[in-house]
Amino acid sequence: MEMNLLGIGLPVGLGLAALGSGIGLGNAVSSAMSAMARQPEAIGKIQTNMIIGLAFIEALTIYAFVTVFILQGKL
Amino acid sequence: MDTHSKSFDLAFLGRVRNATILLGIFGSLFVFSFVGTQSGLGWCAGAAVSLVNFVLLQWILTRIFRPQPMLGPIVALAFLVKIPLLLVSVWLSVGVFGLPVLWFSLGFFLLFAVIILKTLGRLLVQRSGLQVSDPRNGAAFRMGTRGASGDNDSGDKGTPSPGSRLDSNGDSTKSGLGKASLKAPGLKTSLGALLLFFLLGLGWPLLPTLTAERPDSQWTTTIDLETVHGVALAQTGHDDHSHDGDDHSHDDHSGHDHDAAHGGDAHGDHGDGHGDHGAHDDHGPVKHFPHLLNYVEWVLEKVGAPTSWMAPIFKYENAFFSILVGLLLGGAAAVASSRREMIPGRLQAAVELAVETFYNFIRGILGEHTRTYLPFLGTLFFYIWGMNWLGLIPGGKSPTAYLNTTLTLAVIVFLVVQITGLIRLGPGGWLHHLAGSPKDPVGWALVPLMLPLELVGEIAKPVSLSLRLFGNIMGEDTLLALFAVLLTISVPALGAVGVPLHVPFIFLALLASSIQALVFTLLATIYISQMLPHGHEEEH
Repeated sequence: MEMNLLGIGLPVGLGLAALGSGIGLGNAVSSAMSAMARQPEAIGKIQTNMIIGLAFIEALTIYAFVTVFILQGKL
Repeated sequence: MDTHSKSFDLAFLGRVRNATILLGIFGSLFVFSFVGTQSGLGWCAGAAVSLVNFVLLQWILTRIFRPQPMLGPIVALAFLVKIPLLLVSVWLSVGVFGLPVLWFSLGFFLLFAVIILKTLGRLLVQRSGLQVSDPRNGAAFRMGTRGASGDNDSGDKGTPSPGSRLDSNGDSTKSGLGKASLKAPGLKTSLGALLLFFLLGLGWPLLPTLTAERPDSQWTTTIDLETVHGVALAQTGHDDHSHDGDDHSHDDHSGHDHDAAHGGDAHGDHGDGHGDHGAHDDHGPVKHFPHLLNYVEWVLEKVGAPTSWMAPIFKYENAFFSILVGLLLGGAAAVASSRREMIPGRLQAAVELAVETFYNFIRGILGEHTRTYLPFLGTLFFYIWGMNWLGLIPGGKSPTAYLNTTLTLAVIVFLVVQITGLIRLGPGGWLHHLAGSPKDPVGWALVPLMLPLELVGEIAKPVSLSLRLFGNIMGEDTLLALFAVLLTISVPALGAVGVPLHVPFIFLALLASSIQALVFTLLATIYISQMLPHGHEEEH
């Protein structure tokens, strides 16, 4: 098969997306953790909001992942 | 109490049976996943044959060893039936269906291994003089051995725990053991276990002669491996669309007739006698473990029955599994709510607990509107949860790993959200909301800018909802499939055993599946709450 730049681009793109998401998730969780430690009585609310936020951040990686799968046929 | 708990008695049989059932289920999960469909079926068949045999034996023993021994013709008949039954089932599974002998034997001997290990463990415990802290030494166990124990337990008679009725030893407790029990532990324990061993294994030595004319049993195992775990590694171009042929919503191949092709070659090639239909081998990569329908097809082919009628089911297999989950959940809900009592049974208690927890969770977001939307959101949550977990059960498949399913769910959520807005806010309020809820002249001036943005935002909600769920679940399933075959692909010699590299990821997948179901529902809840007058004000 001929060389295809997608072969490099897809994994690297997914990796970059994961890198960004990882940083974002780390920030979100660390803030939520310190908030929970500071106010244990609000753990429930913080947790819910944290999960929603995590879902939004994580979705970015998932988009990249889905793109990889869609473009995989063109490799 | 301690002397009886260590003796060989009928409660011991019950525990052996339960341990074997548990081990058999877990073992079959393993074998199905790593070694292949046929091996898994072989394991299941072996364990089932062994267990049926064992239960029959248990039934006979309880009849014989009760205080008034019942040695009527029924017991004799059962004893006579036992051996031919064993032989016929072994012949059927190994001779007719051609299940791999190795895995059949392993499944069959599982029970024996349990007996040996349990006996050894007891002997060891007795030898070391340890006090057994077996939870079954509770009331249930004492009830089971009361006949043998004499007066020692009379003090406990008044306090049978409520759980004793549910205890697995139920059938043997009723009959009691009577005077015939072997009171002395130790040597007699091992003798009894040995006797059991031989009684169970009657007819087993005949197996090699039955299977001698099938030298290809090893062959089936190998083929099985290739097809089951051909998984995802041999990606070839556009073939990769053919398996999820009805999954057009996201690719540019919607013009092609993949559906027809799917139905067509799916079954055109099945008659060629490979006997390897653990997966859709002619469809390029398979990104998941073989599921129930593959097994059914395989069995039908072994029997020689036509399988062409299964083509439409294969075409709509996601719908099939969705409906399966729906039926399961609906059935559980119907059963749980049909006989409601003040003191709930197990199922009712579980369902009440789930509903109550979920209600409290949603009430934190929706407040007074919770009751209106709880049925929808609860159904959504448990339905998605069930579908996510279905892919982790051998024989199951996650319908949510396909964009069609998740997009449908997201569109339903979208419609519910918009209709909620239309009803709760009124058409005017709804438009006002879509215009970005302007309040001052500056806001009104920005409406031409905000309206398209909000519209795109509304459309993006179902897209992101569906893609998130789809991507997560598909990624999960693919990850599991890949890790299951990681070593067997590179080191084919390991193929006969299988390397369970994906086991740690099963736990991750269990967790992530639940969280994704929760996230989907949570976001739906939030979207609804934004359309409610109350949530709307809170936004500012």
